[in-house]
Amino acid sequence: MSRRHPNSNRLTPPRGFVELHHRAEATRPVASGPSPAPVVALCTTLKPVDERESVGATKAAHPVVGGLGVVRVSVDSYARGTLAVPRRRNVFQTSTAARIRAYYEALPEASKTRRLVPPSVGQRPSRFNTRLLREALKFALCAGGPGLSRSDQMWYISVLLLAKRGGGAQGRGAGRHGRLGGRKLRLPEADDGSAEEVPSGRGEDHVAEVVPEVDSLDDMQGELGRAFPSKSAFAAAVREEQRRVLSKLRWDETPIEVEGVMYLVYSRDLLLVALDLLQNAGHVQLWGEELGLGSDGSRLRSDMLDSDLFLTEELHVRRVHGSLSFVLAVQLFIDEAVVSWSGAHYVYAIRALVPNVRDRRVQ
Amino acid sequence: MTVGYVPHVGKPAARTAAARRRASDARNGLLQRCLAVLLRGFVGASPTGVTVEFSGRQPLTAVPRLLGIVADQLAEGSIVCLMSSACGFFCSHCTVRRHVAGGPAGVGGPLRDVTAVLDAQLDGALARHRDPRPFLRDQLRMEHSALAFVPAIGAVWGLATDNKQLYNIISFDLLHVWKVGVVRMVAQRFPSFLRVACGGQDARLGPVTTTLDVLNLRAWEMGHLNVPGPTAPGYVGGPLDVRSTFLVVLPIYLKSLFCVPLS
Repeated sequence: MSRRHPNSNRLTPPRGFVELHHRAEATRPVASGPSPAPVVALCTTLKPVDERESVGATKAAHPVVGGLGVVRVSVDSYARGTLAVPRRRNVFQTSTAARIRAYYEALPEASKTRRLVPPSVGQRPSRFNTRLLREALKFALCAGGPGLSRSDQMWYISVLLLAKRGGGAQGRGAGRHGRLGGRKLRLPEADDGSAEEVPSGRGEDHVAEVVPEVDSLDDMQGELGRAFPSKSAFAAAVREEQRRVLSKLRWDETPIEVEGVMYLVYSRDLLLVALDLLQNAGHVQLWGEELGLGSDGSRLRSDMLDSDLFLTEELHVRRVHGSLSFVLAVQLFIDEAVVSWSGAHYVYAIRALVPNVRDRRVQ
Repeated sequence: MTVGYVPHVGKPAARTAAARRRASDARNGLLQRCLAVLLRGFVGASPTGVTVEFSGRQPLTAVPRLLGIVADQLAEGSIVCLMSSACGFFCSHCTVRRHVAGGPAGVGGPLRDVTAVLDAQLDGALARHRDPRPFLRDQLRMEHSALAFVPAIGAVWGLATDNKQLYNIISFDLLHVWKVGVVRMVAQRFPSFLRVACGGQDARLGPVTTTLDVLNLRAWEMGHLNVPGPTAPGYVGGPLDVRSTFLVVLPIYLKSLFCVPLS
């Protein structure tokens, strides 16, 4: 390779080339006056690094490798060994935003994002396809804020089934499944008046006494019974519905290692969220406008779309992208994201609002 | 609509300066990296836009822009990677010195140079990767009162480029009010302010009484999550304990209530 392409061999120094850290010594014997300033000394060397060579000289020496800028560093630093010998490198002048983007794309988590639930799960139809089932699901997921636990979900469906049967199933099947939640149950007898004396600290024990587990389809009645043949089937269906929605909403998880600790970050693609909101909204305002003046001469303001910030940005966007463009504005709500001493929460939500979407029901 | 969750970073177990520095770095770094993950697609589309087709209309170009950050004082400082307390320039908008802020000499401080601060933060972040020792960040702290982290939202087009709205999208800056240390007096004058702001019935939340009701409701909802500034401004002698004053929470909620229309 070196023989066939001698002019392209960048590993072999060209003729007359003097290493940078030797140049000061090479020039020192011939210098009669005081030593020049460090930066000037670079230009007085035999072959300055940043000097573009002539066409004729290119044949004899190696070609100058491209680059938009050259950084001059004082010779003394190289001579002292405090700085490494520089190599010519490409320096791309770019915007600050692009540099920040490149900075974060170079971090290791940039390629570790994966879907929290596989996309195929989101393609399945929901099992909660009637109003009753949806309301039951809503209660199971929202009761008390964080929703019911798995055992409470089973208790809840038991109550619903009992109500569906009008409470007529008391005592049936008690001999088949006498346990719930790993605790021994004391089932009430017909003439036993001590049923109310059973401790019911968590409630599920109390219900388990009056509503024994019914897992047979024959014992079920109505819509709930047909949809969920057992209590565990309801809990499993709730879990499966959560996974289906998570997949449909494209939630991702990203492992991020910070200071030696691995954190799992759950997020969605903000762009896709904003576009989904825009496409599914019933009322959309794409362009902003000033509201004019009020009766007292002051400027009326209503929301984001008539603010100076939005109008200024819109003016610039339409100038760059044409009149058929609009600003897809997004507001982020990051309250308490760094308050780690409150002890109340272990994750902090980031919420987004798209002011272009005027239909508040979807946000 | 919830689009992400920031994990919790706990207190350091050891009571040493190095442990505190590690916890602080983890807290700041994790927030920025979460935002970077969240904004990945948004950042990519912000320079060029995305083609959107509505039914029956010709295709339009939707240009994503981040035009609002609603956060409390501490989160605001962390999002733009600025020091929020115990620093020379505590305001995210301008470079007013803390010892003159709140007085006549603090009015009209020069605005922050977005490009200069971000460039310095980029250099500081690269230096921090190589060597996390805090004294290497002193220059950044003295010149800009900034942290050695890069604000991830700066990658969104329009915040560090073009109109450079990075510090303007935090539309209602309460740092001046908050750090003055006379929040009680501010809160006492708050109804008068609302009467002026809501006088024309064109404010976001309507008349004064309605706004005050919403304000109080918000204060009740937030409860113990209110976090006062950990240090007093420079001209206030001694530490200022404002935790016991209920009225100090009011200015915080101004930000969420008026973040949009007062820009």
